[in-house]
Amino acid sequence: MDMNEKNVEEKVEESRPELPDTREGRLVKALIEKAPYAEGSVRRERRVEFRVSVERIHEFLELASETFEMLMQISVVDWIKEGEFELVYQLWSVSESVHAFVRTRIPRENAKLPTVMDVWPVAETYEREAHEFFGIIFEGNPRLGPFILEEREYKKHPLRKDFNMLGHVKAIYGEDFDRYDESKTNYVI
Amino acid sequence: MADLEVPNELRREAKEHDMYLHPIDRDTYELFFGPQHMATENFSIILKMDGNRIEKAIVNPGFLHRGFEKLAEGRPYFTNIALLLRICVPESDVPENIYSMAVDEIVGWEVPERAIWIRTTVLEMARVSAWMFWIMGFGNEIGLYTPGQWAAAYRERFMRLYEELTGGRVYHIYTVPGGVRRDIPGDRWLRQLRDTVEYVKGKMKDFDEILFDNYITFERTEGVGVMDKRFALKHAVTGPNLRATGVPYDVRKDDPYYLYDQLDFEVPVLKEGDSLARVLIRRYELEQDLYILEQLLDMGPPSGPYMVQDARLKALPRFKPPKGDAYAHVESTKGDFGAYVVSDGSHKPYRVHVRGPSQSHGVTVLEELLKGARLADVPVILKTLDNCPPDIDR
Amino acid sequence: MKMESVEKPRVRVVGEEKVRIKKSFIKPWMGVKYLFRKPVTIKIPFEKIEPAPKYRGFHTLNWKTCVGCNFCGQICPARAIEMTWMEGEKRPHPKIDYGRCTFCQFCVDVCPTGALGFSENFYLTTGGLEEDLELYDWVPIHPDKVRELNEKFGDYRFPVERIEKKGDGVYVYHLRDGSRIEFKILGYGLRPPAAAKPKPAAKSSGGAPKE
Repeated sequence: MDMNEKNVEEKVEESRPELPDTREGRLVKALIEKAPYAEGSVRRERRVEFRVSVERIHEFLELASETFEMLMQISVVDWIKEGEFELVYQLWSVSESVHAFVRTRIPRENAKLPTVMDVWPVAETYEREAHEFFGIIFEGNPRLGPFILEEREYKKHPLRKDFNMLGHVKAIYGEDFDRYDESKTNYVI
Repeated sequence: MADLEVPNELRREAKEHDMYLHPIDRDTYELFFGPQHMATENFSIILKMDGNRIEKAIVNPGFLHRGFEKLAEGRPYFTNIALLLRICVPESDVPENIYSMAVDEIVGWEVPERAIWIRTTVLEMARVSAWMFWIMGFGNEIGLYTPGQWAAAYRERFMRLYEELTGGRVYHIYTVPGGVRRDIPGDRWLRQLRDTVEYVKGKMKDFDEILFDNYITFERTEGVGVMDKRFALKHAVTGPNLRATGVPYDVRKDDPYYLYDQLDFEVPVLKEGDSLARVLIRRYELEQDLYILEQLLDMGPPSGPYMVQDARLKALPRFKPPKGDAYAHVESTKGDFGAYVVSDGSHKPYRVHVRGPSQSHGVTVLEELLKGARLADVPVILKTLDNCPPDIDR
Repeated sequence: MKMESVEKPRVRVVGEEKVRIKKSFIKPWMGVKYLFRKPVTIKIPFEKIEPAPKYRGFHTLNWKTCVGCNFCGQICPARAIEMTWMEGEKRPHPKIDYGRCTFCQFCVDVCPTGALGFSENFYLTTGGLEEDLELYDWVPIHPDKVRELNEKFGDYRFPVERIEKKGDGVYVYHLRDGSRIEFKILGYGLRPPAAAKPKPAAKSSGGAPKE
């Protein structure tokens, strides 16, 4: 979603639309009352969404962990045009059967975040992965470093959008490539 | 560092080859387990051993990293099926389906009923053949090689059915966003599937006799690798491993997709949380999956198209879904398999992130469970957790 | 954390007594009965397995109906397809590299005229010599020819026995039944190479076969 869409959503949030009177709606409402700094909405059945600023993400996740017992994944999306990383904490509530996206945005330069290892110990793995693919530093996680990748790839954080995949492959395997894109002008992998 | 028995020349030579021979003292040493070991499949564990006991384990994945998430960002939507299914080798239909479900949700497609039926059947067949694969691995780990041979033979029957339905044996490349790629090849195929299900059902008794009732299985697994409910939830353990600790969480029941809300099946739950409980849960789920397949065959495939009718599909390489994102997950034999797909409106996905179940139970959980275990228990713990390294690496 | 809230009535939980089984010392010996059964193993030189009908094997191409639209090249996940310009053909045809092909057959699905097809043939083994490896990179031949060869031999091998590379971009396909297909490759890519244009003078830049 680009800037325009974000603006539209912010306007909608100003007017604070009523949450639907469903299981999901009540769940979001209860959580928002405890954490008024977060924005919450219901996407569809069994999918809810929260937006939290990065300063209070740890506080919010600690609060959310009472309802959402499991942290399924930390997905990072690199919005390079906006110069931001979006972190999506995928939570699942076993008791309520609801999946929650908890979104937060941090600037791409010098990205730093508090770890949630103390809330969910499994976050260690997800944060190690997010760190090595995107270079985000999770303060308090002791095991940040090469995890899946080798040293040479790890330094470049390959899932960032500005990672030059072709240049990297050429540097490692040499110029011995024979595949071009459709217009026959660029190499492709 | 007294009394080192490794000669210094060997030590130097090992160092030159970037290998380690680390006797820390007489009883404590470092042991590299894998990546060629049958039990670890394709990742290694560095074990700090004290005699026969493990003091500390460090999981070292990355041998299977093929960068699928990065490659998927550079390829059109439909093409990515041929890449992403390689994330889960024994049941390659699971990554196909989660990706297709997520893209369906982004586009807003109503998948035709016939396609839904076929997808459900394919997923259940994948589950049964993955159980067969698991029986083979598990039997081999505890030294019972015979059931593994049988399971491989029965899996072959499902592979033959897949071959006729999809044209491929292991990697089917069959489920695509919007439906499936081919129709059912006719009533003969349905009859064959029913025969196969009946056949495997009849063989369940033999499996019970030789593997699950076997006292060797009980002796090797009882009380090994115990985890409790709280630990499992905090570590996001899913699937049979979670149900073995007493939490009745099954994606097919809790977040029903496809036809699962119309199907009748049971979710087995045990409280012990040890390896034996995990084995028993898996055995019961195999029975349930065969039962689900029978129900699906009784239902019969609904008539109609097997692919959505959409004008945009005429130019498949340039198919552009609207902006948006979606998370879809299914219940695989290993646990909750999920995919998060972000679309920015172009013909390639902006981001595909796969959540493999082994990411949670294959790293931190494994390290915890291995603490204090005997060396001979390592394969048992690995196989009863049903660890799949490609999930971690991707 | 409210752990008690985890229990749910919606999920049909089966009783523990059904999941549990008793361990036994005697039952495992029942497996001995399998010694007297027929083995399921296929004894390969003496027995044969047939691939399923519509098994995804090697490609076929009807050169007459191929319009050279490069849809196959765009959809290919492994970038195994390269458009090839040949003498006497107005449009380029796909050349498929089996070192890269994943046999997903998306190229067949997207082909707008149905020119690109596939056969059940799946055997392709060669030695490691450079001229042997030429076999892994070919412009597929007509489906009728492949079918004819299949009926004659019936062992699902690659229809071409040897690809001979002559100088000046001339390739000769030696088919299994002894017939030959000879054509000249002018160049690769979407745009016609200089040699394909009607100007006879600009022949130097085209037709450089890649290695």
